[in-house]
Amino acid sequence: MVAEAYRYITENRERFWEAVQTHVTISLYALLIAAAICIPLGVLCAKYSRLTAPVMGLFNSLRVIPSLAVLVILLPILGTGFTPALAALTLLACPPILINTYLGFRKVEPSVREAASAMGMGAGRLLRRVELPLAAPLMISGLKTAAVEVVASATLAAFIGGGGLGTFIINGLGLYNFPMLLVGALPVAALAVLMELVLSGLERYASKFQRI
Amino acid sequence: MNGLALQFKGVSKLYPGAADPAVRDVSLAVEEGSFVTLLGTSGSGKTTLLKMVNRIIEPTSGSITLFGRDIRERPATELRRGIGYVIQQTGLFPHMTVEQNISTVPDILGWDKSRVSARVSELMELVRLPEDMRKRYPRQLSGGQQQRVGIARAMAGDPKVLLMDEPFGALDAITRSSLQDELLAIQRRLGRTVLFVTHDVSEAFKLGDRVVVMNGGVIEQAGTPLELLTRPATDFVRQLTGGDDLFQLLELLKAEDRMLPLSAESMLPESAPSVQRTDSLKSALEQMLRHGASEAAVVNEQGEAVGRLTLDRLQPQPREGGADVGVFAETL
Ligand SMILES: Nc1ncnc2c1ncn2[C@@H]1O[C@H](COP(=O)(O)OP(=O)(O)OP(=O)(O)O)[C@@H](O)[C@H]1O
Ligand SMILES: [Mg+2]
Repeated sequence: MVAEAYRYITENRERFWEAVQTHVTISLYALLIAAAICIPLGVLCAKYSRLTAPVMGLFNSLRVIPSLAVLVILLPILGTGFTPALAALTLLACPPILINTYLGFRKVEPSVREAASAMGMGAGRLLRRVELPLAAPLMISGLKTAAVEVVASATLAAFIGGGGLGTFIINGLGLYNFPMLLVGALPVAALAVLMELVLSGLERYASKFQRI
Repeated sequence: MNGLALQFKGVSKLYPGAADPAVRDVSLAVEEGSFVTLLGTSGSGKTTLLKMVNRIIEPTSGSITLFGRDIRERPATELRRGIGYVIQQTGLFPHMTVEQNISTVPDILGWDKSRVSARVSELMELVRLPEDMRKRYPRQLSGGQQQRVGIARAMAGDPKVLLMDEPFGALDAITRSSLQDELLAIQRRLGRTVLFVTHDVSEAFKLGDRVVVMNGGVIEQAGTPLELLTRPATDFVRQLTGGDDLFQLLELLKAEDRMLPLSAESMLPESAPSVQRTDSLKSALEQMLRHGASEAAVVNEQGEAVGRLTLDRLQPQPREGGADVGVFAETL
């Protein structure tokens, strides 16, 4: 069966690579946009406790909505295609990044912050040299959770015409064509594992100081 | 006479929402090169007073000058780079190596690499950290070693003034005592002005040229250790310092303070122990008791006899305080 799937890939090389590309692109975009929004938001939440409850509440409630439901809800607003799929995946990636950034920054000891400003560090230097490196292990771990979730869920993008590897899965299911289903499923699993490995490596590197 | 490193003028701090000020109308002058300890019970405002110097806390009223300049004249970050700061929880950066921690201020000041590296070596030697600890992270060090790094980091930018908030509070007695000795030696050598917070009476007395006793946000008394012991200004000070505790006094006085001149007719017996002129009377007494002698020879650094001590001389002398004090011009 795997051999059949492999033959399908070699025969439809172009279609396959296009799907992989779309899948990876949409996942990375979703992650980047989510990080660009949620890292600053997490930092602000950690600094201004008034923001914490409303922002965290909002994103936590988004988290309980299944991704397929998000897609369906967004459908009437954004229509079908790449953009609504990207929006849904971005929403999905937000909570782990936001929460872990917040936790990472809250974990920085007040005495460390005080020492840093007492040495004459300005706010920018404090952020770059002290807070970010100290929060990094948790932040990367949040990014990892988000990445794996997004890569897996990007499969669903196909349901609303977003393309990607999910297309093979849907077609395979529809046609009772098991090999075709594998053409979609195996690379998705491989991508998720790859993300996990890369980000775990990064996390280990960033947390070196805690482990020695 | 030295100039003033620090001067507090009518400084008060009322925290928002607090009923009483944490520090009330404090005026204090700190001479350049002196070691001043702030002594008081918990909540007496020591930390608050200390943190107003580097503007981690802003006073509600009053002013503070550093070498004659109001500390508000400059941006806080710039002011802080010229003031060393050490705290009990060390506040070391856990993600930075010993070397990186120590070079924090030189880095901010933009020194070049080789100069920073040389400075780190110099400081590690000063605080007696072995060079092979350079690449270690704080969590790989003992509490005492971490505190040494904290002191080295505070001194890295060569600040004229060092603020220390119970830096040895969490250490065992032996480590604490040896760090105290080293800090004293460093301060004597470099002549920095130190403002040191502690709630430990013997630490305050051992380290301070001058001890400032705080209670309820005000200064009860500021003076030399001997003054506080012999002429406590208030009941609080009397209680805190144990009043006229003979042993404390013996610890503070040196052999040379009480020795009698050598003379031909008062030859010391062979059995008499000898003590250094700078030894405390307490250790002199210990020596005499141990040797069963009623006299001891006082010798100088070269081992030459310069005087003698008798048991009589260890008794409290009338009006000792009056004779021994007056080292400081009281500026309060
Ligand atoms: N940030 C703050 N907000 C409100 N009140 C404070 C704050 N910091 C200190 N206080 C109060 O001010 C008073 C003096 O506190 P401070 O920390 O200066 O005392 P301290 O002498 O250093 O005590 P300790 O020996 O326990 O460290 C205390 O009553 C304390 O509760
Ligand atoms: Mg304190």
